[in-house]
Parts: sequence; C-alpha cells; structure tokens
Amino acid sequence: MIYYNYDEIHSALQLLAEAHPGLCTLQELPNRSHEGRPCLALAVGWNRGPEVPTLLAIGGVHAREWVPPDALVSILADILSAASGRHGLEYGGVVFTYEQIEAILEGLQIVVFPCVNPDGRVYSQTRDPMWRKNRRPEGTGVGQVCFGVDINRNFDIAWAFKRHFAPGAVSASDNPCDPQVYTGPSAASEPETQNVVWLLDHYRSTQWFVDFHSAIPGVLHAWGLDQTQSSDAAQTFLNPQYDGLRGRPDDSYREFLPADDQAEIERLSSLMAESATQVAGDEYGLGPAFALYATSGASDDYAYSRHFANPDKAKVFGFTVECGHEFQPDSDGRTQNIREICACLLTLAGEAVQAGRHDSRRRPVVAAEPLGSRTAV
Amino acid sequence: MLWRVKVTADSQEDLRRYLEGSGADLGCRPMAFREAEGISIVLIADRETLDRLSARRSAGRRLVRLEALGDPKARTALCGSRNRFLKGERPRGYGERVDS
Repeated sequence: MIYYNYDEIHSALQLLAEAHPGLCTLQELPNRSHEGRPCLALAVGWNRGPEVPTLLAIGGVHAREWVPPDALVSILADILSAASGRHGLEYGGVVFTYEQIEAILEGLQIVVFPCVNPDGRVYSQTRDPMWRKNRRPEGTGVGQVCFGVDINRNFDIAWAFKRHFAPGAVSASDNPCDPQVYTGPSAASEPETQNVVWLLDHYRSTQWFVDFHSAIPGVLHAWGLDQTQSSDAAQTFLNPQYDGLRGRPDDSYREFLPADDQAEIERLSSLMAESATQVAGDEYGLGPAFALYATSGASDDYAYSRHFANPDKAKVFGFTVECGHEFQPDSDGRTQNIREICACLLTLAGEAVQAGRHDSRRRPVVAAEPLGSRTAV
Repeated sequence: MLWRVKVTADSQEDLRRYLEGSGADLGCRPMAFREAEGISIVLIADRETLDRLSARRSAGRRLVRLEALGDPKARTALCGSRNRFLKGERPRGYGERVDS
C-alpha cells in the first residue's frame, strides 16, 4: 500500500489535531459528500479563526490525481513536527529553517482541506483509477443514469458556459455523461464545491488559495477565462455585454486583471515554480490558466473572482499547482511530487507572511479561538 | 490500454480543430505549450482516440506516443482498504529534519 485511502486521510487529520491541540483546529465541513462521507479540514497556526490572514490549500478535487491529498497530509505532519521539535525542514535542496516556519505559524493561518472529493477518491482507488469527477448520479431523461460532476467546472464563475463563452471556446460540458468536464446541474450544486466555498466564506481573511492537482508540472494563475489585459476594467466576466465572446484567443475581448495584481500573482507563481523545480530538477512551468481553451467554473478563478463580484469579500490570489507527470506515480515518484508540493506551499506561505507585514490595509490579527501554548504543541 | 501522447499543430486554432471531437482526455486543465515546431499538448488517449487523431494528421500536425500507461486497474494495487492510522501508525511527512 502506497497511497492513503480516504479513511486514512480522515484519521490522519484527527490524529494530528489530537497530538497538537495548541497549534491546530480540526474543522468539520458543513456538507457530507454525495455518498455521505464526512469531510475534514485542519487549520494550523498560532493564531486561528475567521479573522486571521489565511492561506487555504485544497487537494483531491479530481479523484484520479492521487498525490495531492497525500502531500497535504504530509505537509501538515511536517509543519507540526517541525514546530513541536523546533527544527527546520528540507525538501531536496529547498530549506526552510525553524525560524522561517515559526514566522509562518506566527503570521499566518494555513487551512488545509486535503481531499475535497472523497467519493471520487474511493471510486478511483477501488474501481476505476481514471475516474475524475465526484459521484453524483444524474438521470439523462432516457432511462440512463450517469455519474459525476467535475467539481473544477462547478464553481460559480462564468459557470453558464454556453452563455458566457464563444461556441467551442471552453473546456466544459453540460452532458451528465461526459466523462471529464460535466459542469453539473447548476453553479456550485455539489456539496464538495460548497465545502470549498464555505471555507472561503468562513475564513473570511483568506488571501491566498491553492488548488493542487496533477499531472503536468506547473503553476497556473488568473485567468482561465480568457487572455488578460490591465487597461479596460469593463471587460470582465460580470459584464453581459461580452457574453458569447469570451474564450477565443487573440481577439478583442480579454479578461481584466489589474496590473498590481498581475505583478503579484506572477511573482508568487514564479517563486512557487522555482521552489518546486529545485526539489528534484523537474521543471515547473508557469503561466495563466487560459491556454488551449478557456475554463469555466474553476476553483482558482472562483477564489480570485469573489471580490470582483462582491466588494465586501477579501481579495484572494488563486492558484492551481499541478505536480508530476502521472496521476498515480510509483512510490519514488509519489515521494518526489509530495516534496515538490510541500516546498511550493511553504514558499507561498513564507511570501504570504512577508506580504502581510508590508500590507498596512491588512486586518489586525484577532485570535477568535484560544491561543495555543508554545510548549504544548 | 492508454497512452500519453504529445499532439502538435502549427497554430493554437489548428490544434483545437485537430482535437475537436477526438475524445482525447486533456487532463486536469488543458495546458498547451509553445515549441519550435508549433503548439503542443500532452494528453491521454485510448486506442480509438489514437486512431481518430492518426486519421486526422496532415501537414503541420504531429502525433507522438510518449509512453503506454499500461492497465490503469493495476494501479488499485497501490491502495489498500485497511486504515493504517488505526493500528498505531502516525502521519508523517517527507521533509528532512534540519537543525538550525
């Protein structure tokens, strides 16, 4: 046995929370999966709660991508071990000193939701390793039942792709029997999607979001909707004037991305890609998520879109990190990919702490839950 | 049987036309990359998809099998049904300890 099954992921979070009560809080998500499985996240940091600056990391959205959930459990174990043992961590050539890890835990809350799609993982690990979606059953109206929604096409960002995008421009399908990219019956219809939305709503000071996937190494950032531009704020997903035009490369419509945000998103992406590359020499690319096709309803775009759609919400820089070259690598490949993800996430966390120190607009750190004891982690 | 396949076309537009209706599995997000030869994507294809793509080859379109993924069902052997964490094992990471 190499990979964790879902019960093990669930137990691992419970064990870590029990072993380090001063430094982490177990968070049960409000929705069970379609097949009734409970879902857990773990919040880690000396200051925890909804108002604390937060980095949210998720994995396991796509069932067949087996490494990211294991990697997120591993980094939780590493961080908590480093804090309690007062030591640093090394992944390949990438070193994080104890002082750096302590600074991260002082200045940031890291919320980790390792396995967003438990039913899909169980199905993929026991029945069909290439299964990607969740396990929603849906009738097609002709006596046939098909299974599964692609959670990463189900978020409420340009979800109604036939309205928002030019024909054929987007990687999405409204056919419940599509094996890969069925968008679901409505935006954020899936309990698994709603759990991620809940985390962003509950931890309302979330400013960084990473969705870990596989299997082409790279760091993707805004936007997946179209190519970007920084001069015309009217060209956004919110503007119905551009419905039916989005998603075609090299035309007059490009999604608005403020220049400051673009610079910061590219800087962070570059640092994450460099860090992951340094672990074992496997080159991580980087760039906007819009490449061959547009994507609708994706988690990274949704996270970043929230403050455009509702200015009361915090701005969240959203990223997708893809690791490795296989969905289910062997033991050595799994270990390497886990280390790459860990280096990548800790690099982002370190930068997030630095950014927080220099951002005078940041909300003050208020511990909404009891502070932990430094000696009882 | 499944294969990882690299598909290249002269332009993004032609690559999209090449793949349209092919049934190719484009992975998590369809990530294309520009190379000297044109624009490429790595995808997963079964025999039927490979045949469809092969039949559509033309000037500027290239199709290279990178590797066979073998029988995906064999991968289930990498997972078990028991819960190691109920038997005393503790979650551990893969970072090396560094003493400051």
